[in-house]
Amino acid sequence: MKMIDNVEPLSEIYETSDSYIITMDLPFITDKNQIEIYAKENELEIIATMNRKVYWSSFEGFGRKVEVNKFRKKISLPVKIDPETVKATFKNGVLIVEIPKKREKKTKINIS
Amino acid sequence: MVVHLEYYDVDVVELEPLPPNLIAIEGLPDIGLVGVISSFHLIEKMHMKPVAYFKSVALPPIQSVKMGIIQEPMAAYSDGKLLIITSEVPVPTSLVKNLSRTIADWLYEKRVSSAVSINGYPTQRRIEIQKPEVVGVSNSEKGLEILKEKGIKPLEEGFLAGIFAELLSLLKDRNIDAYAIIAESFPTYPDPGAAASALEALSKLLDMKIDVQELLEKADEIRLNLKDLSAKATQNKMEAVPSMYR
Repeated sequence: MKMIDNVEPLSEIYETSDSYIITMDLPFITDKNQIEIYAKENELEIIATMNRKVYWSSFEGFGRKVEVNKFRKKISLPVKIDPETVKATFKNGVLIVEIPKKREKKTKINIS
Repeated sequence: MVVHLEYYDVDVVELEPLPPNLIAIEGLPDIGLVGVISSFHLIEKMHMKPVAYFKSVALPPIQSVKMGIIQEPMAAYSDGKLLIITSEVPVPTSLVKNLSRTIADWLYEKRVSSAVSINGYPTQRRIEIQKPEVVGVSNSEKGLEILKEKGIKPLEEGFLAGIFAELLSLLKDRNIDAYAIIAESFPTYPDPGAAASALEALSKLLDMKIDVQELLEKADEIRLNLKDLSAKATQNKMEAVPSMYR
């Protein structure tokens, strides 16, 4: 059976007044130690490794079953972030990543 | 600007005659795929067989294959008591109106005794909820009393959108008692936990035993394998429902 390790999980991004929130559905992931999160200024990469190989059949794969053991997703962010401020929690199979918005300094412009 | 919306015809192809007084269950793809997950659980546990299928040029050109034979993706299944309508493909926005009407007409023609839609309502705080709450809606005063008698909390106020909302109204026009059972659900992820809660409410409403333990044990497998359908169903729902009602 074909083995792939690049299944893209379902995810959702929404915005609050002071942060971006990304949620990600991670079935077969039971512990936060199975998840790696890498943050850059404009990108987030999430890799979650299952404890065992499981079967998955996708629309795109014409429903044929393939073996998978890993989720991987790269998310391009709409603005630059400070990677040090990113926080994550994992609960009931769903990962929540909170990315605070950078506070931008306002400069008052004088009218000549 | 005039926008021309094209509505497509839907045909029902019956595979065998159906007795009257079946209880119809609608579980088409919607929020959290609560109806789809519930439907396929019932079909499997009650060894139901396909009794009809739905055809339309607006449906995606997809056939599922089981043991070398094509299976129509949008179909009705029965065990002689229930008549379950569900789909393995999303319902395109352009089909919602006519599919609802076709189903309502067909259920009237088949003289079903009542109909129940199973759905999810999206809640962002679903992650904090261990056991999703269920509310019920009926299309008649009598139905509302039955919901209360069976211990299903009625939805006091709100908006319903989608095929099940259409069906409640269309079945009222046809004097068929109809209910919607709506469970708190993840807005965009397949939600077997919500389906289990909805099925527990359905078991109260119909006075029948439905074991949901196996459904909960297979939750991870269901979430993984329905992720593509869930993504497409969510996209269709976003197109179909005006943003102020989401």
